[in-house]
Amino acid sequence: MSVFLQQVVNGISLGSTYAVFAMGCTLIFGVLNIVNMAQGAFFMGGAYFGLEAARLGLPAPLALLVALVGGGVLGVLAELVIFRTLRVRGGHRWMGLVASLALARMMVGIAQEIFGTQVQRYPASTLLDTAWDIDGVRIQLLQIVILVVSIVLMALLALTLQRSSTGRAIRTVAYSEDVARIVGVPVGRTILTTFFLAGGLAGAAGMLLGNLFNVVSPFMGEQMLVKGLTVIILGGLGNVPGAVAGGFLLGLVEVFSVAYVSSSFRDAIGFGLIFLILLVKPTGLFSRFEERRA
Amino acid sequence: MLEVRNLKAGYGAVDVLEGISLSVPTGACVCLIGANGAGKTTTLSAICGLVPASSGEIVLEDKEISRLAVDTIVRRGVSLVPEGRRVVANMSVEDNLLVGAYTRRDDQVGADIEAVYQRFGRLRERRKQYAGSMSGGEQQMLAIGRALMARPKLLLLDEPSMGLAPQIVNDIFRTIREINETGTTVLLVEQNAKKALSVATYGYVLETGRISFEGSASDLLKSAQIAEAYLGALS
Repeated sequence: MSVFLQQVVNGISLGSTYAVFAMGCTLIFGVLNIVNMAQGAFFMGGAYFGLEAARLGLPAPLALLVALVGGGVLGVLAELVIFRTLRVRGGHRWMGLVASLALARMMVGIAQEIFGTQVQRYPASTLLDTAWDIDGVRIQLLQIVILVVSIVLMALLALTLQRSSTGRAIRTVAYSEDVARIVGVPVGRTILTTFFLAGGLAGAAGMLLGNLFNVVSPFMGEQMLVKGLTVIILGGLGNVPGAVAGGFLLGLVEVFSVAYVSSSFRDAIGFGLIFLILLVKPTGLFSRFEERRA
Repeated sequence: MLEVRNLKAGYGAVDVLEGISLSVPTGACVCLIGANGAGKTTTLSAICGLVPASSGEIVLEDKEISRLAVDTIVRRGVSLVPEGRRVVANMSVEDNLLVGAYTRRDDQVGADIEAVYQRFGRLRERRKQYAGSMSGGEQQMLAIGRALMARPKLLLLDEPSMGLAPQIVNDIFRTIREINETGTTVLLVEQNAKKALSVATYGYVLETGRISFEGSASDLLKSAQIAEAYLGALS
């Protein structure tokens, strides 16, 4: 029983970081309908931004803010340099895919050059090493903090989308750019804001996951991109609550397959299960909420 | 309010509008009638900046606006009720109204939403519902309400009667008259020429990108030529 509970605790804290990352992905892929393969690189960038900030002596909350803003700025740059340019020039969406893939590879290369290929670790002062042992289940303070921070980020995004003027503008642009223009929404600026939010979520997720395992590497973003894509398809494309649920689900499945089967089977089981779910329900688990498009 | 002079505009290399001129005086309700494909929608799209003008002038309150971005034109006081209503189907009625007020930063937005609900009681009943779940007539009310939320000086309406039952069409046209009577200038595009001329005081007839005829609503209604071309099938 305690093994089971332990995996629930581990799976939820891991899943919360997936959920934060997946929310960013669903904003870009699902809401804006843009294929951005650099989303994983923003995740990796955020982890390094947070790492460098922590090494400069910034307390963890400020380092997280640096990771978030840093990821957001990367998102804004990707939109300005790649996606907007291609839109203005009438590029096919596959070109955005290839260009952002190139950007991601460049960023991995730059990170290798600056930080080396070796795995880096956060300074001991940033990490919370308090832990409790309750009936054989070990709960780290860090896990709880990560879960709380993730929930706060998710709630902030949900509130922004549902209740703010900017959120309504984003939803209107997602529905139809022409309709957005008609009501006076500046479409370009709204897309830019969305890229900032999505990049920020990726960057914050990078720092959170980097903290959870205390591992930062130039290659951490590539796996994450695949997971993010999986989660948003699983949750129903463009569906924010679906992305959150999908993130937690993937975290739990991974952790359980490591505990009960074998760590080498983690991806085979995790992705195998998702494959099965999609075969049964091709529109994603939460297609009930699937939004109609113009 | 609005002066369009020798406007040419279209999509890509071909101009749909081959030089049209029209005038909408402050406080007036002017209509633009014509067959499918004559360029009515293109005219409205060019006025609000959705389609670039290739030549000519669009002057709003003595200022040239034909090179401005759409959101700037909305801020200057021009709102469009587009053809086919185009409400955001997956957003609530109230959110649709709120996004209509996107360009505003004043504190009267709540009061204006209340005013829209006063005008269209059905929208109040359905305020939490997805806009896409409503009937065509209700969506048309929402599209008009959304445009009013920007507090326009000039309201552009594109085929507001399209696809609606006759009773609903009457309601919509009564609303358009009320909006005009409370001081909003209106430019109305319609295929239903008879209806359009019942609320408008002046009308233009558009034929394949050119104004072929213009005059007061009563002149247009009397004109045998118009009657034959546009009213015959409907009367």
